Amino acid sequence: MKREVVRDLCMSVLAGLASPLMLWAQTEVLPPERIADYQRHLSDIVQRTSEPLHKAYLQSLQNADTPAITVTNAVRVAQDIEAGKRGPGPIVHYAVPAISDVMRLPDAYPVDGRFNAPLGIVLARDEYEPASFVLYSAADLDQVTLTPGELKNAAGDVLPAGQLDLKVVKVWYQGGNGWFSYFTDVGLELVPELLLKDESLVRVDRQTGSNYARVGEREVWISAPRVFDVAFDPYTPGFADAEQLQPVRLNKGEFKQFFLTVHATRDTKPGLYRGAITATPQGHPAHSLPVAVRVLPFELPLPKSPADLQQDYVVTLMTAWPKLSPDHPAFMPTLRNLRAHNLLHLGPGAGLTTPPDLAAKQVKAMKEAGFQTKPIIGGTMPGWIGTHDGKPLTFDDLMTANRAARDLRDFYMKHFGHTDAAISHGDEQASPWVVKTRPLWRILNEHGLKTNLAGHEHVFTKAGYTMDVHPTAGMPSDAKSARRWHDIGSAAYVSFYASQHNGSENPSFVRRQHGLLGYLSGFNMINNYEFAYGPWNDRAVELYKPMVLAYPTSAGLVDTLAWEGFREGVDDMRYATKLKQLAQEAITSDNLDRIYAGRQARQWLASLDGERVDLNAVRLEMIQKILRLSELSK
Amino acid sequence: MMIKKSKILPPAFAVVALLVASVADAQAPNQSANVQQIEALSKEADAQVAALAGKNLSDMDLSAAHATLAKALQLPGLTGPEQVNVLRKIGQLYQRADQFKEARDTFEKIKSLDVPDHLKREADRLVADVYAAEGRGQEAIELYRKHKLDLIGLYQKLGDDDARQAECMAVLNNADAPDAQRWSAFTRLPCWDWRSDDTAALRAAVEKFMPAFLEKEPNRALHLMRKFESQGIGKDPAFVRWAAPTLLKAPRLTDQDYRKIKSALLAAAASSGGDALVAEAKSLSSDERLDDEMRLWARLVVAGLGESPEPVAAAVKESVLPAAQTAAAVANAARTILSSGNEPAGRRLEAFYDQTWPRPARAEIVCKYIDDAPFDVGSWIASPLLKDKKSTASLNRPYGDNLKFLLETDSAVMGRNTSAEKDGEGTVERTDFHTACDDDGIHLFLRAHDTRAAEVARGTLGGGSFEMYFAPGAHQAYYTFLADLPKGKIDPQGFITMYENPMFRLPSLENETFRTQTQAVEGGFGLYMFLSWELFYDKLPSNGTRWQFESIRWTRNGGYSFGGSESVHNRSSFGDIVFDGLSPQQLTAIKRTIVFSAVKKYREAKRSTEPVGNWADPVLGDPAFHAAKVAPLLERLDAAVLLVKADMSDADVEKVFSEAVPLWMELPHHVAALRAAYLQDVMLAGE
Repeated sequence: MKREVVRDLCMSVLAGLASPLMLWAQTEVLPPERIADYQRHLSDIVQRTSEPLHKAYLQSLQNADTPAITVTNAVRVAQDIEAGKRGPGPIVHYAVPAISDVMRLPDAYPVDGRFNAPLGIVLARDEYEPASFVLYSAADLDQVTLTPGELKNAAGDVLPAGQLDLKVVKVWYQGGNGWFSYFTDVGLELVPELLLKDESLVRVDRQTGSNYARVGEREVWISAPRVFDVAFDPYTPGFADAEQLQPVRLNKGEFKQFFLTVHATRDTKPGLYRGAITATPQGHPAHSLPVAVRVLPFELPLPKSPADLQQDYVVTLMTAWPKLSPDHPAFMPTLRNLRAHNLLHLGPGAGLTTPPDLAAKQVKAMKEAGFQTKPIIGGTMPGWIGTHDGKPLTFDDLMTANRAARDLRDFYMKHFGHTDAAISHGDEQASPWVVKTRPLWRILNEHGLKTNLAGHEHVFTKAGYTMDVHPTAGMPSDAKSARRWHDIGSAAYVSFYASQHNGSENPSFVRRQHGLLGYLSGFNMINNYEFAYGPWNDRAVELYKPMVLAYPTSAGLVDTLAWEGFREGVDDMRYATKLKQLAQEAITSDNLDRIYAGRQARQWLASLDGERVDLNAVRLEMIQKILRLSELSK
Repeated sequence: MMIKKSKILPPAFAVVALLVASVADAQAPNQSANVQQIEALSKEADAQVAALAGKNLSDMDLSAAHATLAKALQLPGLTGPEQVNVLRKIGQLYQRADQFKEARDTFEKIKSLDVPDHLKREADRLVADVYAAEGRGQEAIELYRKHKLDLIGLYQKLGDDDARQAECMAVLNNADAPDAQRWSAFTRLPCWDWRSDDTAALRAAVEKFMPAFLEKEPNRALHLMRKFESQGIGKDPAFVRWAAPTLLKAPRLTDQDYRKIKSALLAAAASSGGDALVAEAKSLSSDERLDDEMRLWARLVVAGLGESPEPVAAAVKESVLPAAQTAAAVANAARTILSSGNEPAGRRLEAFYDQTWPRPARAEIVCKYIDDAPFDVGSWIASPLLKDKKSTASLNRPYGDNLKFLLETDSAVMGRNTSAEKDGEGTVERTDFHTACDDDGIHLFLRAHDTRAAEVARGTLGGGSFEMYFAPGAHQAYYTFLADLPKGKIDPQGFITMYENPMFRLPSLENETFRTQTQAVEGGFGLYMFLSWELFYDKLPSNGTRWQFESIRWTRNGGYSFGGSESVHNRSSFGDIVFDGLSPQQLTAIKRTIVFSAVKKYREAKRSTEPVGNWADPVLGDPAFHAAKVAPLLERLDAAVLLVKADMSDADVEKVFSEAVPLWMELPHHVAALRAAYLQDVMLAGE
C-alpha cells in the first residue's frame, strides 16, 4: 500500500477516535490551538443553531471581551445540540459518572458526559446507588424546579419517587489544594463538594472569594483566613438543609451538577424501572431526563475479610461517633446517616467514665441506628496509664489496667453480652513505649478484650503478636504490610490510614482508598483518620485541613461527593464479597463447570490492579459474574 | 486476671496478730531507731515492688515486699503509732493488689492497738475506703456515717453526684458548721467538676453562697476562674458577663488572668455588638493594667468600627510593638469585629492587614527549552545554565506562616535579606534551583551548599532533606518528592494525590518517566530530577504556561523554600515554573518523542495477556464484547500506527498526536470505559 493511501486511511480512521465518552480527569486542559478553533467556530455555530435561546446566547458571546473558556464551552454544547436530539428550551443535560475524578466546576465542560442521555443505575436490593447529571442553560433561570417522578417496571411495579433522593452539588471555596489532599492551605479554590437540598444554605461569593452559611435570616462568613476566623457553630438552631430539593438557579453558560441517589429497599421487586426527572424553569418548557434503574435479584452481604469469608470486614472511621448529647435533634439523624453510608462499626461512644444513664442511651442509639455490635472497635482505656516514654509499667500501673479491663469486660458484657471489643490505648507511640506496653495488652486479652493501636512499622516489629486491631500508617496499596499482619495468625483487623487521611473531596479517590484498593491488598478493615465534625471553614486550622466527609448541621449531616464515594467504596467490597461467596459455593460443588466458573471469578478478582482498575467497570463486571454464578447454581 | 495467690504470704491477719503481740512486749528505748528502720524497710518494700516493673502482672510477686514489711513488725520496742504505721503500709500493699479482705483485716488490727482515737478513726476510714475500692459502696457509706468521716469525698470516689450534692448542701446549709468545712463543701459541689457544664447550677450556688465566703476571704473568688475559662470564654457571653465582676474583685488576680477576663468581656461585648462593643473596647484601650498589645487590639476595634481607614493606620503607625504583635493585634481586632456581625468593618481590617503585611509575591523561575538540557548532576554542574539568572532561583524564603514569618524575620519586612542563615558554628547554607526542558521532559536541579558537607557525607552530621511538590498547572493533582541528604532516593509515588486515569499519570522509576540522582558536589550536594513529557502529553505547556513547584530544604537551621511555604503541602504558596522558548517546532519535536512512546505503550497494552487483549479469550474474556467494541477500536488504532515512521512529517505528528496518542497512551482505561458502557447497556436494555 502506498504511503499516501495508508495516511488517508489513518486520517479517516482517526476522525472517529476522539470520543468524549472516554475521557475523564480532574480538569481538562485544552491546548491553545483547540481553544482558538472553538472561537473560530462561534459564528458558524450561531448560524446553524435554531433553538432561539441558545442562538441568542451564542450571539451574545460574539464580542472580543468574552472569555475564551465561555466561548469554548458554548460552542462545544452547541455542537452537541447539533449532533444530538433535544427538545425546545434553554436547558440541556449531560449524564456523567457520579463518582469520578473530574472536578465539575461551573466552567468545566463535562468531557466524560453523555449529552441528553438517560441516567442509568444498576443496584442490588437494600442498596443505595448514585447517578449524576450536569445541567447547562443558555439563559439565566432563577427558579428551576427538579422533580423526580416515580419509576415503573413492565409489570407495573413502582419504585416510588421518595426513593429517589436528588440533590444539587454545591461548588464552594475550599483550601487551595482542595480535591487533592488533607493538608491545609492559606488560599482558596472552587471545589465541588456539598450535596444540598437547598443550595442557598451556603452562598458563594465569587467576587470576594467567600463562603457564607445561612442561619435563619442571617449569613455568616465561613471562609476567613485562620487568623480572622470566628468559629462557626454548625449546630446553631436554624442552620439546616431543606427536606426536599428546592428550586435552583442556573446561570447561563455555566454547568451545574446534580446528584441522584436511588435506594432499593429489601422489598423492591427485581426488574427494570423507567421514569424521568423533570427540570421545569419558570416561563420555559420543561426538560426531561430519562431514568432507568435495574434492581438486581439479590441483596448484598456485609463485607467479609478478603482472606476469610467467615470474618467480618470492619468498616469504621476514627472519631466518627458524634460528640452530641443523645437528646440533641441532630444526634440520631447523624447516626442514621453514618450507617446508611456503610459505616458499619461505630460506637457506642460510651466508656467507663460515662455516666451509666448516658451510656445506656448511647448503646441504645447505636443499636437503633443499626451498627454492628460485634466486634466493637471504639473502646478506650479510661485514662492514661504509665508514662509516655519507655519507662516500664509498674505493678500499680498494671493493677490500674487490670481494674479497667475488669470494668470494661463487665461494661461490654452488660450491654452487648460479649467482650469482643477493641480497647485502644495510646496512638502512634514510639517503639520503647510499644515494648513496655505489652503486659498491658496481655491483661486486656486475658479479660477477653481486644487490643487496638494505630501506628507505624515498629508496632508490627515490637508488638504484632499482641495486636487485634491495628490501623497501620501508610497506603491502602501496601499489600506487603497487610499480608505479614495476617501471617501472624491472630486474625487481627488491619487497615491503612494516613496516606491519605480523610480530607480529599475527590469521591473517586475516597472510593478507591476505602474500597477495593485496600481489599485487594489484603486489608480487612477500614479505619482511617478521621471523620471530623467540621469546622466548615477549610482554613480554620493549621497544618491539616478539617478531615470532613460530611458536614454537621443542627439537623444532622450534609452529605458530600466524597462521602458518597466512601459508601460506594464499601459497596464495591460488598459486591466482591457476594462474588466470592458464590464462587466459593461453586468451587465446593461437584459440578466441574461450576467449579471452573467459581475459580474463574476468583482468578479475575485476583488479577485486578487496585490502583489502576476502572471501578465503575469492575462493579458492573462483578454484577455480571454474580448473575452468572447464580444462574449456574440453579 | 488474678494475682498468683500462692506467691503471697499466708493470710496476713494471723501473722500480723502474732507480730503485734510480740511488739507489745518489746521495750520502748528503740523508738527513734525504729522509726528509721520502718522507713528503711518500707522503702525496701517499695523498691521490691518497683523492681517488678516491666513484667507481666501475673509474674509480679509481692511476697518479697510483704516479707520485708513483716520484718518491720518484728522490730523490738515498737510503739503503738509505729505499729499503726507498719500495719497501714501492709494493708495498703494488700489493697494495691486488690486483696481487699486481707487489707481490711490488716487495718482492723490497728483498732485493737493502744493508740490515740484519731489513729483508730483513720483505720476506720482505711477500712471503709477498701470497701469503696472493692465496689461495696453501701458498706463504705455506712462506715463513713458511723464514724462521721468525710462523706463528700466518699461520694466523689463512688461517683454518686446526687448524694454528693445533697451532702454538700447539708453542710452549706448548716450555719453552725465551721467556715473551712463549708467552703470545702462548696468547692466540691458537682457543678464545679471539670466535666460538668451545668452553669445554671454553678450560678445558683455562687450567687447563694459566694458573697458570704468572700467576706471572709475575697480571693476565694478565684475559684471561679477555671470555670470561667472552660465554660465562659468563647462559649457563653452571659456567663462571662456574670462571672467577670466577681473575679475582677479578687486582690490576688494575676495580670495574666486579668487579661483573659478583659478579652473575654470584649468578646462578650462583641456578641452584643454596637455601642456595647465600642464602650468595652474604649475602656480596654486605656486600661493601664493591660499590656500594650491588648490595648492596641482594643484601640483597633474602636478605630476599625469607623468608616475611615486613617485611625487604624494611625494606631498601627504609632504602635511600639514588634510587627508580629502589631499584626496579631490587628487580626484580633478584626476577629472581634467580625464576631459582632459587622462583616464590612471586619473585612476592612482584613484588607488593611493584607496590605500592611503582604505575602511575598509568588516565586517564579523560567524553564527554557534547550536542545541539550543537562540530564544528571554532573551535567548540571558543568552546564552554563547555572549562570542563567532567569532559570535560576534560590530557596531563600523561610518556611512558616505569616505571623511566624514576622516573628522570626521581623527585619525582613524592612527589606533585609534573609537568604542565608547561620547555624551555631558559622555554616552558611544556600540552595540554588535551576530548571530547563528539552524533547524528553523537564529537568530540575537543586544545589544545596553546605560548608560542612564532608561531615554530612561521613554521616557524622545531619544533612537535612528536601520536600518538593510539582503540579502541571492549576486544578491538576500534584506530585510529592522527598529526598534526604546526602544520598536520599526519591519514591515518586510516596504520596499519591490522585490515582491514574486517562488524564493523570504517576511518575515511575520503572518506566523512566521519572529519574533522580542525589550526590555530593563541590561545597555541598546536588539533587537532580527528571519528569518525562509522557506524564503530561495531554497538557503540554506553551510559552507563558505556569506550572507549580515548591521545594523546601529542611536545613539544620530550619526550613527554606522556593515559594515560601507557610506549611507543608501548602499549594497556594508554591512557586511557578514559567515556560519559555518553546517554538512550534520544538513543541512538535516533543510530540514526536511522545508519539513513539505512545505506540510502544499501546502495543504492550493490547497483548493477549493484558486486560485489553484478554477480552478475546473465549473462556476468560468476552468474545462478543471484544468483537463489538474492542476489535474495531484496535483495528483503527493499528491502522494509525502505520503512520508512525522515523521520518514522519510534522503534520502527521500533529495529527497522530492529537487524535491517536490519547488512545494509545490510555488504552486500558478506554477499553474499561467501553466495557462499563457495554455492560450497563446490556443491563438496562429491554422490558
